[in-house]
Amino acid sequence: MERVVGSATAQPQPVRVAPGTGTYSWLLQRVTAYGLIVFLTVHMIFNHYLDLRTGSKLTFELVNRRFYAYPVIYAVNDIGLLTCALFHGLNGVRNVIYDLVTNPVARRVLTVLVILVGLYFLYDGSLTLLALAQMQNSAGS
Amino acid sequence: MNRTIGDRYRGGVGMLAWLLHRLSGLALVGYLLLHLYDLRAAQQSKAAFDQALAFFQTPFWKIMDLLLVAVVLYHTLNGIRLLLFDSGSTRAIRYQRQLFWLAFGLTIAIFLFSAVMVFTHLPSITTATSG
Repeated sequence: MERVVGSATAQPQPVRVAPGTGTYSWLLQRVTAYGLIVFLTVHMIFNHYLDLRTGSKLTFELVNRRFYAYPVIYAVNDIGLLTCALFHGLNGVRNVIYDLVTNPVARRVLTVLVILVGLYFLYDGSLTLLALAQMQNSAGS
Repeated sequence: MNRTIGDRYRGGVGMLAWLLHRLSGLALVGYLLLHLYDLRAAQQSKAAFDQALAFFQTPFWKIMDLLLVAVVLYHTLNGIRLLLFDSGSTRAIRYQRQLFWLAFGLTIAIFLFSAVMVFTHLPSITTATSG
C-alpha cells in the first residue's frame, strides 16, 4: 500500500494533466491570483493609503477627484481588478462546490450559472465605472 | 488514483491553512458582490452614491473593514504560499508548515499595523473632518 500522499518525506513528482479537464480554470485561477496581487496592491495604495494621509470622508466628490488625478491608473486598474476578482472569486466558489458535488449534470449547471453571474457583474460593474467617469466629466465642466 | 479516496485529512498545519483559505475566500466573494452591489448606486445619481457610501462609514463598518483587511491579508499571503507550491518549488513544499506560520504571522503583524493606522490616522471614524 503506497501512501505517500501528504507525507513529509515524499518528493513531489511532475504530473501531466490532459487539457480540458479543469486545467484552464486551474491556470486562470493562478493568472488572476497574480493579477489580484498587482491590482489589489495598487487599489489599496490609491484608494486607502492616500486617504489615510488626507483623512477625507469617502464621498462621490473624493472618488471624482481620484479619477481626475490618476485617470489611466484608475481605468486600467479598476477594469483589471473587476475582471480578476470576479473570475477568481466565482471560480473559487465553483471549486468549493465541485468538492462537494460530483454529479456531472449538477456540475455543468453550476458552471453555466457561475459564468452567467460573472458576466452580469462584469457588465454591471463596468456600467458603475462608466457612470462614475461620466459624472466626473459633467461635474468638472 | 484510488489510493486517495480512502485517505482522510488528519488535521495539522496544512489542513488549517487550506480551511482558512477556503473560509476567507468565501467571505471575500460575499464581500465582493456586496461591494459591487453597493457601488452600483453610482448608476442612479450622485446623491444615491453618497448615500450608499455613507451607510458603510459608521464605526461598526469601520471595524468590519478592519476585519476585511485581516481576511484579505491572510488569503493573499497564504495564496502566495500556494503560488510558490505551484511554481514547482520543491523547497516551498518541503517547508510548507514554516511558510504557513510566516504567512499567518505576517497577517497578524500587518493587520495590527493597519489597525493602529486606522485608529490614529483616519479622522472619519470619530469625527468627519474633511482634508
